[in-house]
Amino acid sequence: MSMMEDIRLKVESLLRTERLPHVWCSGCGIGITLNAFLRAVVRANIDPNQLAVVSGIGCTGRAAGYVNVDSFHTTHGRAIPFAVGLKFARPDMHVVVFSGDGDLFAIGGNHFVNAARRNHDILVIAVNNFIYGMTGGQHGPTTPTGAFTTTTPYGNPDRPFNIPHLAISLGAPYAARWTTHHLMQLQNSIYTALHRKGFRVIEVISQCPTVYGRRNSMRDPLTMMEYFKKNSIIKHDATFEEMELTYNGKIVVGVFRDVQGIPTYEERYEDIIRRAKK
Amino acid sequence: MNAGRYFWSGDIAAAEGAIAAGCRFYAGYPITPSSEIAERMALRLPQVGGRFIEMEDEIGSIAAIIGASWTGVKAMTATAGPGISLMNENIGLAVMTEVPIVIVNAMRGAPSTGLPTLIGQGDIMQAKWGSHGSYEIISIYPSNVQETFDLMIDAFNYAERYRVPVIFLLDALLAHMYEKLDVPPQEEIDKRVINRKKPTKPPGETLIYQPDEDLVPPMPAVGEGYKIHATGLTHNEKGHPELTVDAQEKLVKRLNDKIRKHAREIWKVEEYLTDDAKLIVFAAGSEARAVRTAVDMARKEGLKVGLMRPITVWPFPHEYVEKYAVDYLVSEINYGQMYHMVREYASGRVELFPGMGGEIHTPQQVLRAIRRMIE
Amino acid sequence: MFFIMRPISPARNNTMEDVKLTQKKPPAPKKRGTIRVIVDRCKGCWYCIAYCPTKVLQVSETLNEKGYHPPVLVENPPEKVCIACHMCEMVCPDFAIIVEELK
Ligand code: SF4
Ligand code: SF4
Ligand code: SF4
Repeated sequence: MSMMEDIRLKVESLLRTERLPHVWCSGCGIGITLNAFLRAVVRANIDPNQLAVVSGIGCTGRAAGYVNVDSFHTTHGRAIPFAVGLKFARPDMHVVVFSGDGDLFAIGGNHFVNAARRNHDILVIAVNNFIYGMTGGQHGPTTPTGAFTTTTPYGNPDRPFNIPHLAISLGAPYAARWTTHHLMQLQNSIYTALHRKGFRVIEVISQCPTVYGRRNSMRDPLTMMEYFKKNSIIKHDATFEEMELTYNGKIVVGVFRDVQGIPTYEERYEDIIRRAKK
Repeated sequence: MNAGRYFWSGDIAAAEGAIAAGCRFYAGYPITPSSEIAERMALRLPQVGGRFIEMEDEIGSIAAIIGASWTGVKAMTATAGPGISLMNENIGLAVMTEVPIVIVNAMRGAPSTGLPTLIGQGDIMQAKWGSHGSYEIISIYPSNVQETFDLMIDAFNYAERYRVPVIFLLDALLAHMYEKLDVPPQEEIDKRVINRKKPTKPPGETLIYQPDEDLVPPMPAVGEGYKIHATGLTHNEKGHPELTVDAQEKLVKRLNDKIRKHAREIWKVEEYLTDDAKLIVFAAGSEARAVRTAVDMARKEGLKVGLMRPITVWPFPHEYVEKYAVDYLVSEINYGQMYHMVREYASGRVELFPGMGGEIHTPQQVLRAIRRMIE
Repeated sequence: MFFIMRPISPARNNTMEDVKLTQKKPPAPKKRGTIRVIVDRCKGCWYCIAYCPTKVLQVSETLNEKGYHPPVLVENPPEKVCIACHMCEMVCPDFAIIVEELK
């Protein structure tokens, strides 16, 4: 069997196959992201028994339900603190938070900010589809200014989060952004991040053809993919301004930060235990 | 802690009781009057190889202890009214996914920010009904420092035995009051400690939400190969979401019944001079201390009065109330909470002697209320 | 679970030709492969078709349980063949494709 065939079979064993087909719509990018994630896990040779996946609520929140490892579908916005507790109590586990933009940055924003600041050893895969999909397409904390959603019928007056900028400003040692069009880059980025330590953030710009695309003249899944392809620019040394996302504008992607050697919260606490026991 | 006599506050006793019970994980956010529990845990947990983390808020704190509990560790948090209000959604998650955790609520004057440093007993109904949906939790409420230490061991036992969040009520008075207490040797405490049931079958053959006879499913930990899936959605015995009427009926009924069925094992009630009483004063926590004195004073006047003190507040120990065909006076620091429960089960007259918060009643006030009711 | 499928009318195919998402130029066909489609997982997004570098995937006539048309491999050797690049497998959001390499 070739290596690639082997990866595919192992991906199959990392899925709760009896639960497929999954709930996501035709052409939803969450599935592509999950596919890339599982392939990266296989390539990184991670023991499935040493991996826990935690999700919040929303379309992306359903991801935990399909991975055949210890997996938790928690409450809205609370995937990160749940993962923090799990990781802190079992520092030897790989803990991955796989959740959506609304969950991680609106209702869960405070947890993201503080967990990044403390540098917990967690990988956050943040699927950004610009919208609240599960509830029918209301605008969220990442909806580009001007975009049309069910709660911004005249265009969105809000300014969206610049997620890599946010993560870097909090000292996150790894921050990257890809789109679902960047199949290999995304997979490689997750693979690299799985080998790093600390609070790692990968933003995945993903398509929600059903409720975002429909209202923003990209009804067809393929049209959204084409938009990602045409508009993205790989620029690893992008400035914070360049990382900003605009309505139907350029999408700067890349690995914006990858530094090693920053002690994680868990490592610092091991030291606390040593000192307290003296 | 070494066995011996100590002079501790309720907060310190709660923290030390938790450690004695085997708690090795604490996540919390400071709030008066429970902050001293966090301070004690920060000092003590790393000494015993445990872990303490101060989170960004109470929501994060409870989410973290639920996550931690899945690793097999005994986990707790402590807070007060405003914090409990924030935790309630995740209390529901712990109920639905059956995760053992202990939450201390040091009750203060409320609503809202209320009286941060002064007593209230207004969170009694909230302890049971705070999260959405029909569910049962266990809640216990000590009335002195010794009991706080001792009951903390029961709190963890209940959480682990029934896979349920246990709400450990304190009040501002008890939390900050220093008293002498005796800490028994750890070996003796260990004999009382109950740990959660582990699956007996290997992964693959274990449905992680398949209950035993006692309606409680054994609980695997992460990293053991069971490929746990836990969701707050209605789920089947595999733990997979199943959004049907049948699955809802089966799951929610069991979640309630596993507590109701064991209520008699859980109930702890103190009955003081109730045997020949014509009137029983029903009071809990710090308030019960004043009532006890009032009962003694009434007895001296020849009034046949007793005290019933629920140590288990939830599930409500209704059989104790039903046992006596007498009148009840419910003395509590709120505008009627346990009063409604007593009224539901008492056969005689039931009256409320409320306090809005800030202080407990004086024994003289309770005595006057007793006299009024007897006349 | 795995079906052999026939291609659907060419009219439908043409719409696919318009979308050029192929990431790389097709490499010289060193490897050869074939695909298995787990028909009932497919949701007919046709990403696989758009991302196939040699354009050997087409919309099939088959309808699956959910009413989608899964892809089908239609080769035209020697040039138009499956080169086992696994692109379709990686882009599929529904884990519906397994690429097998031919020895
Ligand atoms: S609503 Fe949007 S985000 Fe949700 S599953 Fe459908 S396409 Fe995906
Ligand atoms: S990419 Fe997958 S889901 Fe989409 S059409 Fe191809 S096989 Fe079907
Ligand atoms: S493996 Fe490559 S060449 Fe073969 S069908 Fe898939 S995308 Fe086309």
